Amino acid sequence: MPDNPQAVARLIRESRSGDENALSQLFPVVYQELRRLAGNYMRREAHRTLPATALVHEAYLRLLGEKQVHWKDRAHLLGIAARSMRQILVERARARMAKKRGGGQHAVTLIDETLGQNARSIDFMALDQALRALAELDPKQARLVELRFFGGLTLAETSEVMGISPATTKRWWALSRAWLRRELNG
Amino acid sequence: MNPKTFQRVKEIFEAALEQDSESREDFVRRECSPDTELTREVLSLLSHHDPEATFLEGNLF
Repeated sequence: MPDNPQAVARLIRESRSGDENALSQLFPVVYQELRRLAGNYMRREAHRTLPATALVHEAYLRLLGEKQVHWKDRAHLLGIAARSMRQILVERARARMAKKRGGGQHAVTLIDETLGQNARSIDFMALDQALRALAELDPKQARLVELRFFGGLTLAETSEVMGISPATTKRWWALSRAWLRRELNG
Repeated sequence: MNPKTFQRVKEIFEAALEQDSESREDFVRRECSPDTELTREVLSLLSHHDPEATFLEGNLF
């Protein structure tokens, strides 16, 4: 597993040009780093709030150091971090569910003191499932949610990573939200 | 729904948001006509449109 910024930067470049092997080496590195950071924050005070974007950016800095990288490499890494964040939250929700099931309860909603007010009422497993369904209709609509919500990227950062205009990003975001809101309420 | 229909839904949904909220429904009915299923789908999505932008907005942690 690569442990220095140079190696990580090389993997990013290689995976961006479609090297599957580089991507499969890079993903666990980003994932582990994010999980470690998330774990640290969660162990601290319960009322502490932290935007996902701070976690993602901290992971990014720790992985690459202060090294100047091409913006496309940066965008690629943010995309991987957003995917990792989604996976981490879904895994935690699933683990929690399994624990509750063991106790004979059927709690579907994830209630987790470490999550912010906005995220507490979200059923991450249902959201993940709805996102998979959305990806089958239009992968870009789902990708945008991953970046914006799980990666905590701003509209501007999202449009940079996806290579679309900010106006398009805004329109697609409205559609994804309406679609997911309907799926999760219904 | 299939990906092709979804692209049509997407197009009309986006165009509808550009309209005043009062004329939105008429606009959608006109655009989708005579496809009632398409009309229903777009109107349903518009009814879940969240202009206050609270759903999935804000910090995760």
